[in-house]
Amino acid sequence: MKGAFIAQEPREAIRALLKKSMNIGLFKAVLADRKNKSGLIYPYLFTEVEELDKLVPISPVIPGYSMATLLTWIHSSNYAQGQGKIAVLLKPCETRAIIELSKFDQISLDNLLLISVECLGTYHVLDFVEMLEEGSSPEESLLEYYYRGEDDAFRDACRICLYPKAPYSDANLIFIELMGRGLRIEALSQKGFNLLVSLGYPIEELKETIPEIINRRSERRKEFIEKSRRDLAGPDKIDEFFKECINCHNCMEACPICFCRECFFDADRYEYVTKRFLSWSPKDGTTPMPEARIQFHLGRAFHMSTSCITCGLCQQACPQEIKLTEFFTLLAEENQALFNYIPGRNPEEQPPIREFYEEELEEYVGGSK
Amino acid sequence: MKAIMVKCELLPEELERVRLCSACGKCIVECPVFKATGNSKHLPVNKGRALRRIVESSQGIIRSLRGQSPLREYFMRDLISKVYECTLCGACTEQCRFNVEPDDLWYEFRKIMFENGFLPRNLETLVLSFKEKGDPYGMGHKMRLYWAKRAKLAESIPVKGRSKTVYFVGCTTAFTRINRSSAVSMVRILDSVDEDWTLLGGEEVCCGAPWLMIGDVNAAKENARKNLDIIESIGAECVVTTCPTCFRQLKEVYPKLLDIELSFDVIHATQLISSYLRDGLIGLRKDLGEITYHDPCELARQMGIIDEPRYIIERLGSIRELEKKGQNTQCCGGGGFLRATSEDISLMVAQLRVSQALDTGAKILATSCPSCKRNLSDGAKVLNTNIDVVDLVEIVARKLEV
Repeated sequence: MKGAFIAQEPREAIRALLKKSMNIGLFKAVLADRKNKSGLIYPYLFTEVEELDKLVPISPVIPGYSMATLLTWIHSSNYAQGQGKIAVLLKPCETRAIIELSKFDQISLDNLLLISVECLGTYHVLDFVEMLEEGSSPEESLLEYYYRGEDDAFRDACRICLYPKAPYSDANLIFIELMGRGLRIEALSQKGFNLLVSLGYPIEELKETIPEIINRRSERRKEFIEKSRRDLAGPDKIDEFFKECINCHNCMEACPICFCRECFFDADRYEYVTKRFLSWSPKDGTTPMPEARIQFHLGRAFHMSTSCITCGLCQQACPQEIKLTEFFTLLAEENQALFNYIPGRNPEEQPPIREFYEEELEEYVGGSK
Repeated sequence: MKAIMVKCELLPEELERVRLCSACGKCIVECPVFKATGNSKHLPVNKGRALRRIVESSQGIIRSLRGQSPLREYFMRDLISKVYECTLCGACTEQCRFNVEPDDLWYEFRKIMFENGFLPRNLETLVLSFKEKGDPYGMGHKMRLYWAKRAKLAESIPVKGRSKTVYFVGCTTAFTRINRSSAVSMVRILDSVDEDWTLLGGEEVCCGAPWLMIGDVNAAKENARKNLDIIESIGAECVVTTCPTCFRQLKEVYPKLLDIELSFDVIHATQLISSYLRDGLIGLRKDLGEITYHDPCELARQMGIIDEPRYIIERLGSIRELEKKGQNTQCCGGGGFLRATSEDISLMVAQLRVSQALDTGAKILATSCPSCKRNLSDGAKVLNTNIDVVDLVEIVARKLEV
């Protein structure tokens, strides 16, 4: 694998890389996190070099509006028709999500340069805002955690994540093992390689390194999945698991994979008039919609469990704090193993839900005979 | 599939607030409309997403890439019910920790919808009569004092050219049958302390808050100007209202809307009555037993008037607090022009609130807003209960010790 090493504090190095690229016109805009005066963070499209000072190179949080969602908006407004490239600064899970979305024709990778920053996890948005309210700096504390190799303050999904580095992107930015002394840029595609050449960085042959934390996490992940399997064994347990669900669909909205433009469950089918509510529950005029509640989660799981990257944004978005990561990690693990499919591994691979082979899954399909 | 260019002009500060939403979903938990309907289209967070989609296409990041981008017409049409089926109660803002201040953005959102011609069907005709008659009930200035005529007060109430205090009645108090008694009560209270006061008479127009809820800022300004002109010509030092919407509109919104400073003070009836009580100008008979009090959103959450109504209730009986009170009050369903847009949803929200009041065991449900009183008593009717829904000024007038 080809790459380059820059001996500079990683955040400075990332900013310098983006500034230089924009100055020499390698791309027209950068989609990345931006910080406002009070330290809150939101995804933003930087079109001016001067604005890049407000960019957050290593973000401590993924807001419920992921970059993937914004890119689908940009894509649907026909940006694909050659207006210059956009660089996107991403977490590994977001990178994988974007690759999956490209397979469902929701994002075109043609004009995008995916830059994936190594990540051991992010804070829950509410923990993040609490840190700001207390006056501490989430960005600094995040890096301290990274350099110590600890992750107990991060979200559930991050603590069992096996992809601190994206399996596919244009360029991976590696910095944790360098302990703040530098940044390694790994070119994973021709586009990424071209970037290094155009920037004039000295290119060398790099050895692939596997972050040490993965071993610890594999164990944790196994335990986590065992627990999920127990919590979700059978229809009664599933019903119990979603007991607190108020059917707000915020998990779906936050999900970077959920690829339908219009959701069936938002359709008028589930719009009930007062009379029906009253007939269901004469006392206080409301009742949860039982058929829509479990069905919604199962329907969603059908669509996206083979592409689920277990980013945990669904759990972060749940106002009822349902441990959705358990549900989706279990489904993703089993369904993806069934097809030997890893979402985000390769943009050329087709997701199982889009392909059908007569020979596959004999016990369900009955084989070709 | 028609594509349209949506016109929207948010200020940079507002644009940033739209973007600050982290979709944590906390705003969902207390939304009264969502509690009542359980329909995800009513979620504040979903409206926020839609608003962001619009502003990014029309003036934000997508525009900065390739010029203004069109949106599909059905996308906008679909938003009508999302945006207008909301009570603008501010419960979402109470929960938000990301400085989004959503309730303020919902006004901007309605402005965008109105200016681009997307109105709920119920409002399309209402807007016409509102423009013509000057009030959302379509009654006109001739009917402004009908409440006084019904109470045989038409001869005795003052409509003077100069006065110290102005009682601004407001449309909902003047035109809805259930609230006429509040206006009459207010007259009794003002007369009992020999206040130098006047009504604006037929010249009074709607305070303009409904226009902002519809999204027509220019019409709101026009109404504000009209009301200010009369009040200023009277030389009033103080304007008192029984309606929290008028109160907030006059006190907070007029100065911002017209970029002026008010030459008079605006107070709510509960403030005036509690000051009378403190100064010993009036006395009350304390024989009403248990009273529960519903805080109107605009009075308690947005204007911070929480203690005064309770001070008055203590003098009338004992208070049984609702679980959701003060800053954290839950809307009656009558706010945000929802009653006009969708009466169905409005009454569903009202029923939730009335059943909470029933749980306290109190026989009287007091409030200090004509809209709340109207909606809660309709909710009580639907629930078939006989809890007595009253405006505080009514029971004060009833228990006055002369």
